[in-house]
Amino acid sequence: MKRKSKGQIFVVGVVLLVVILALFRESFFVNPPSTMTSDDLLDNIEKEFRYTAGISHKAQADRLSNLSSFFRSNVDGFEGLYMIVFTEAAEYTVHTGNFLRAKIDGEIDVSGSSPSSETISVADGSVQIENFDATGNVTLELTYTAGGPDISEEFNFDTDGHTTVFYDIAIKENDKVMRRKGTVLIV
Amino acid sequence: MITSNQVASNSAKFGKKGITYTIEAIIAIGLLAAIVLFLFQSPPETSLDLEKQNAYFALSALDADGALREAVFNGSTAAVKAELDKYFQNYDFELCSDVCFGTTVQAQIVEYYMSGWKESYNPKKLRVFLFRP
Repeated sequence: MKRKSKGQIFVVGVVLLVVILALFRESFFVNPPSTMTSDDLLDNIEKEFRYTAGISHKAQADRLSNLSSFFRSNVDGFEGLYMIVFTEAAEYTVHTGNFLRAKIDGEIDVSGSSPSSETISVADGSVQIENFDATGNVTLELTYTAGGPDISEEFNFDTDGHTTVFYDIAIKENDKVMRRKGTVLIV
Repeated sequence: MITSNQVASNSAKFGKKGITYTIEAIIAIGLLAAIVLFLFQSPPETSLDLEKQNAYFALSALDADGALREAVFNGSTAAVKAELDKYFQNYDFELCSDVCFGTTVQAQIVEYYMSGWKESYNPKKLRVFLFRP
């Protein structure tokens, strides 16, 4: 007499699913396994960015630009944007370095300064320098687009002779972007 | 003619079968859920990734001590090797400012960047080649 199958079909189904999932496991994940080390790499890059910012005086203003170029030629998917503010007596200079792999267009708005805003247009791999007059605490807002939606960044500094660096660095890997932003006050 | 005893017997038999099917189905669903949860709880991590990450941690720790950075910017290969020997076995390394020539031997490569030392700026790349034992 032929035995009727009962719940065995479920067990067979589970075994088949295990085999299928095991075979295609890695392709189910959006992020490749190497992401973890890219995150460490970005930590390393950020640390060196901050280190170089710390030794970037007005006479060596091109150091961050040079370092950005160095990382761009050595690290796949690296991109960055930075602003260095050198203050001196009642005036300050803002260097905007663009390494975002696209031209940026935007505006710098600064509180209590003259002029109160400047339009910027920085080609990829270039630096634009703008001069302002002000005393005391200044809030700087950069609004820009690199072809996509508007992006806004803001930070404060004092016109007390110190240097302030803002940076936004990233590594793009497939569809994932790892990013670090920060400011460094050099005293 | 079916007696009341036969009806009761059949009813108990089918009732027992139904419970068995239900338990089988629950076990199968449970197994399936456990497998899916296990497979999707985190991205797969290979031993190579862990090896690279450990190497990063080691290089970061050596850098934090300061001696590795000093050795790199003094250009002393022996001093760099002495520092790397503290953490690595079965490895080789190269230091480069721009173009790295690398090695033809199959190895895991871990790169570590240093932009300068003290007030000097001169970015360098330290590449460590980790060989399989």
